[in-house]
Order: sequence, then structure tokens, then C-alpha cells
Amino acid sequence: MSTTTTVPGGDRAVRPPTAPLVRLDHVSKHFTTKGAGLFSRRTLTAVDDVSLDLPPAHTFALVGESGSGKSTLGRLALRLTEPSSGRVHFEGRDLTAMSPRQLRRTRQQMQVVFQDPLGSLDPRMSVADIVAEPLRVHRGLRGSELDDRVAALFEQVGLDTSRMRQRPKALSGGQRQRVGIARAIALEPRLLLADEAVSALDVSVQAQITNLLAELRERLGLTYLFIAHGLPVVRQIADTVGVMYLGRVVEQGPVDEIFSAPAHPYTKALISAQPVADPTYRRERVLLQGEIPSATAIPSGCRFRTRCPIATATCAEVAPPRLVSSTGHVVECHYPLEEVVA
Amino acid sequence: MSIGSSPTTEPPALAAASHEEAPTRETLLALDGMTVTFRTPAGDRLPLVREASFQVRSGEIVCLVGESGSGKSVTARTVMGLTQRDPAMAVGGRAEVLGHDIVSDPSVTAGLRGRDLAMVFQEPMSSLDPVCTVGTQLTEALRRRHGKASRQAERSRLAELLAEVGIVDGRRVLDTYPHQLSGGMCQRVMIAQALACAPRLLIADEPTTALDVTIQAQILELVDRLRTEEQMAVLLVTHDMAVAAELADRVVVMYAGRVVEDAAPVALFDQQLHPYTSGLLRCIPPMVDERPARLVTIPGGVPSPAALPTGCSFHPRCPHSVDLCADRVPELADHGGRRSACWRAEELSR
Ligand SMILES: Nc1ncnc2c1ncn2[C@@H]1O[C@H](COP(=O)(O)OP(=O)(O)OP(=O)(O)O)[C@@H](O)[C@H]1O
Ligand SMILES: Nc1ncnc2c1ncn2[C@@H]1O[C@H](COP(=O)(O)OP(=O)(O)OP(=O)(O)O)[C@@H](O)[C@H]1O
Ligand code: SF4
Ligand SMILES: [Mg+2]
Ligand SMILES: [Mg+2]
Repeated sequence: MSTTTTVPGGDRAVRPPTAPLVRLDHVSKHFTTKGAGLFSRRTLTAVDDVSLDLPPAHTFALVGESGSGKSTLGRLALRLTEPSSGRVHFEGRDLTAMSPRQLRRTRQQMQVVFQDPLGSLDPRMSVADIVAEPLRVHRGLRGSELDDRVAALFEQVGLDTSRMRQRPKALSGGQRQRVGIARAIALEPRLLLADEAVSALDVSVQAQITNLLAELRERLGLTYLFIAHGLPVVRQIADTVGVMYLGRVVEQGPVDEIFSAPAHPYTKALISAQPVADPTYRRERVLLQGEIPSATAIPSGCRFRTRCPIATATCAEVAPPRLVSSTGHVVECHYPLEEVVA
Repeated sequence: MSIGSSPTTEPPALAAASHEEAPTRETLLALDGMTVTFRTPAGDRLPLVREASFQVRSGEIVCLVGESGSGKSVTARTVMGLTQRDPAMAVGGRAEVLGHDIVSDPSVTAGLRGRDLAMVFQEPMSSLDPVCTVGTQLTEALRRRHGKASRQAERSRLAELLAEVGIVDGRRVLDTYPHQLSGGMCQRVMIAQALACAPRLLIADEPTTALDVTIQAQILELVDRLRTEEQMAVLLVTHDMAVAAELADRVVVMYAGRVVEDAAPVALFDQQLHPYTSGLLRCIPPMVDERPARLVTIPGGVPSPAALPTGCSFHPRCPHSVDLCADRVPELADHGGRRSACWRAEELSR
């Protein structure tokens, strides 16, 4: 097939055309947690040997149940968390081997927008100062030059400049999220990690912010690592979707393939559990039993087999192969639901 | 006239409800012009709920939807007799719960709670006691309805109940304290607690919002089954139109403290008689249909009760507003088995 395909709703490149902006190379993260006893320690595997590429000007979304490792993987990609093993490359350079100084400089290229704008914005600062801070600290901007740049950022994220002197608390949730985004794009980063950035917003505000993110991506050539619980918003904004389960990306591929032809039984169950805003819509629902197991006791073989509706004895014994198709669709399953050529 | 409790024949406003083969249903919750006002320390009276009117009957799930701050939780908590504990709150109009007038005597709800009436709260933890094990609390809920049984029988019934809300190692969880559990786990224990007493009327405020969709699907399936098999009546508060589409017999849409539209889901999703409902539906990204390049949005945000616009509260955001909309408040009027509070509902339905 050709290297790029157009999808309905915009011409987004499906295949990475150039070198990746971020490359995760066999990255793992373990945490040590307290066990039941006084001195007992247990190892928790939050991210388990993940390799993936984020192409530039592309939106890569991570979905999966709570505790599956999405935030940890996002933080690893920006080296906000030290990997236990593996390497992280940004623009071809090894982040894990950088000096603190180099890392600080490179970090300006990578910014984060969190779920709770109020929790991540300093309550005592005016929203203009919040947006100005990185420009003062890293770019040394002062006076009218700084004011002009801040005003331009307000305009870019659709914030009324009459609000510049207000504190975060005086703003609505959507307005605060716009402040968070303005601050994040102030230093013209290449990569934006959006960790549940639209999840807590009302649907009408969520639509506004989702549109804003799509617009900024086009205008500024941003790359997004977009983490969200809500599948509809992921379907709207993502080019590529990675589905996490117990620390691994068990399926990954172009957004339309993932939603219309999921190959992993977990992806299929996740999508079928999502309510659809159409009372006449009928679907075959795969109800999963129970919940995601503890990350301190990952099941043998295929980690999904304890809840998988089609698991066999093989699944308990042998780790599933990693199958990769020509469209970049990756699935880790002994019995993929859709044909994926190894 | 009594507005609730007695077995009723199908009132015209409810004739279009989806369970047509249904036997005579009992009205278990009936609001008629219920109003809740909050008096600020400065002495201003803020209308949090304005003339809410709707009913919930046995075997029926009514979804109360709307964006943050629209008054859904205040409505639910008032029905439970909880808002009234705050001396700054005043409740007016008419409201009957299981045949009892809760406006003149909110204390009757205390005797109903945990038996015929149960609630799941929006905030996890708020109905769990931090110093008692999960097992102790659930046993108490179970006994309130079924009386005492053998410890063995009680524990296995509770483990079953926990399994139904997606907790597989229920027996272990029975021996834990709430703080040892994750937020999502507490939420599910709360749901199990509410269902342990087999209520006739369940008030559930965003019961699954904090949960994964996989767990949400399990719980909604359980609620659906109890509605069908036990004729449980449910007032389900949610901001998620998709949940309402899947589960509701009727959908009641609130905006700025008022009910603005009320209809059966198939009719409502097919055609909206209020521009706010249309806006809410159109800004949801589609799960099945083709993606739009940009989502439709509603400009602005929900007004605060301290600064309500004149006339129709939605008029500053409404694409269809005319001069009349800013001047006079539209009544919640009947439109052939469904209701809308919009001056232009007739025109919009054409
Ligand atoms: N600092 C930490 N110390 C110990 N364990 C941690 C830490 N951070 C994360 N974990 C554990 O790692 C696993 C993955 O967590 P993570 O927050 O990455 O999941 P998530 O997919 O983002 O979940 P959610 O959807 O709830 O945000 C979980 O089991 C979590 O408890
Ligand atoms: N105890 C209270 N005192 C004063 N105002 C209150 C109180 N509880 C709620 N309000 C106000 O009443 C309005 C309605 O609030 P309510 O909690 O019912 O909204 P909601 O529809 O449940 O929203 P959400 O989706 O965010 O839960 C809001 O403006 C809120 O600030
Ligand atoms: S009454 Fe007027 S402003 Fe209100 S929803 Fe109807 S058309 Fe819009
Ligand atoms: Mg997370
Ligand atoms: Mg609420």
C-alpha cells in the first residue's frame, strides 16, 4: 500500500513518513511497593518492555483501563520518570544518556497538559503570569515583548485577553484548560503530552478543547501523546491508537482499523463496552468478567488470558507473538480476530 | 390530588414510554414544580432547582442528564431528604417519594432509606464508614431488608453481590477497610451496599462516572436486570448521553436548574424539541459514523445560579433565540407525549 492514506474527516498521515520524533526502545518501569508484611516488598510492573515510535505531527493515543500504565508510559516518553530499563530517543538523541543540562534544554521541546487544570496551575498567580513564566525563565523575555507574546498566546487558545489579570479559580474548567495549553505551547514545543486533558470537562467544553488541540496541531505541527479514558474523543483526535493492558501495548494501529476491525479480544471488549449515543444502535457486547489483575502479579503467558473470552491452554503457557501488518497494525495475541500478517 | 404513590393508569405524558406491554406501574417518585433555593451568607436567594416536574415509576429507568452545575445532584439529594438538612436551603413545590410528601416532612426519608429507598452518591466514600470493614457495612445493609441469617449464608450472598458489581475476590474485600481500596473499588462497594437492601426506588448519582467502561458495562447491565426482573425504579443521574441512550425509558434534560426537555430516548435522539438538547447531542464525537473535521460546539458555558440570564436561561448560547426568548421564561409544555421548555419547540419540530 502507499505510504500515506487519507481518512474521512481530514487528511491525516496514517503511515509515519519520516524519522520518529520519539522512539521508545524496550522501555520498562518497575516500582517497589510495600507488601502485606512489615518488611515484605513487592515489585510492580507498570510498563513492561514497550517499543514504539511517535512520528512527527502525529497524534498517538493511549487507551486502556485504569492502572494499565498509560500515565507511566507517557512520563517515560518525556523522561519525567526514569526507565528501569530501555532507552528513550527524542529527535534521534538518547534522552536517557543526556546530562541534566542537556535534558533541561531538550525538555522545552516537550510539554504536558494534565487533567486537573486547577491542581496544576499556581493559584496565587494571575493567568497571564502563569503563561508568561516559561517565557521569562527560558527565553528571558521582558516588558512589552513579553506582553505581546502572552497576548498572542491567549488569542491562539481562544482566551479573552480581558481575563489576563484573573486567578485560575475565577475561570471555568474549560478556560483553565486553555490557560494550561497556552502555557504548554509558549516555548513552541514539538511534543505535547496530554494526560486526560479533556476527560473531566463537560461534553460541550470537551468538544471546544478537542477542536483547539486539533487546530494547534495543524497550525504548529505539534505531535501529541494523547491519553484518555473516553474512546469517542480518541476516535475523533487520534491518528494511531495504542491499547494498553497491564503495562504492555497489546494492540496498536491506525485509528480506523482499531475501531472498525480490532484484532485483540481486549480491544474488541473495550470498544463494545463503550455506550453509543444512539438508542437504536445494536451491537454484540463482549462483557468482560471482573477487573484488571494486580500489576504485582501479572498472569503467565498472555496477560489478558484471565479475562479473555477465547483463551485456551496455550494462552496460559506461551507469551503471544507480536504480529505486525503492512499498515502498521500490531497485535499480541495467539488468536487475533482479524487477519494480521506476521 | 395526590401526585404519586397510587397505582396509576398511563398518564398521557408517559404513554410513549418504551415498555408498552407493562402492567400498571406505580409512581414511586413524583416531582411537581419542585424548587430548591440556597440563601447565601449575604442574604441572596439562589435558585438551584426551578420548578422541576417529572415522575419515575416502578420498573422504569429515568435518566437525569445535563452539564456540570445544572442541578442534577441537588435534585437527587433533595429527593433523599438530604439537602433539607442545610438550614440555608429551602424546598418548595411538590415532591412525593414512595407516596410520602417530602416537602412538608423531609424526615420521612430517614425511615425509607436503606429499605425501599437507596442512593449511590457521586463522591466515592461518602456513604462508607471508614472505621468498619466492608463486610460489616454490607451485612448491615443486607439485614435491614432480609433480617439476620447465618454468617455463612450472609457472606456468600455478599460475595455474590460483589461479583455482580465486578469484584471477583469478594470474600477478601469483605475483610478490608474502605481506605485500603481504590476509588473505583469503593464506588462499586457503595453500589453493592445500595443494592443489598433490594430497594424499590434507587437514586444513583453518576454511579459509574469514575469507573472504567468495562466495569461500567457490568454495573449498568445489573441495574438494567433489576429494573426488568425486580421492577426496581431508578433515577439515574448522568452527564453521559450515551449511557442514557442505552438504558433510559425516559430522559429528563436539565439546564441551569430547570427541566428543559423530557422524552423517551428513541424520540429524543431522533428529534430534539429543545436547542440545548440538540447541542448536547451534536458535540459528542461519533463512535460509529464518519468523524467530522471539527466537532460542533455550544458557545460559552453553563451560567451560575447567581447570574442567570433573563427569560430562557439558554438564550445567550442558543442559535435559534428570538427577542421573546430574552424576555419571558418558556414553560415546560406538552408536545404529544413529550415535553419541552422552548418558545420555538413547535417550529423546531417541523
Ligand atoms: N509512583 C508510583 N509508585 C508505585 N506504583 C505506581 C506509581 N505510579 C504508578 N504506579 C502503578 O503503576 C501502574 C500503572 O499506573 P498508571 O498511573 O501509569 O496507570 P494509568 O493507565 O495511567 O491509570 P489511570 O487510568 O488510572 O490514570 C498501576 O498499578 C499503579 O498503581
Ligand atoms: N450546598 C450547596 N450550597 C450552595 N450551592 C450549591 C450547593 N450544592 C450545589 N450548589 C450549586 O447548585 C448548582 C447545581 O449544582 P449540582 O451539584 O446539582 O450540579 P450537577 O448538575 O450535579 O453538576 P455535576 O455534573 O458537576 O455534578 C451549582 O451551581 C452548585 O454550585
Ligand atoms: S426559548 Fe428561545 S433561547 Fe430558549 S432554547 Fe428556545 S429558541 Fe433558544
Ligand atoms: Mg493515568
Ligand atoms: Mg452532580
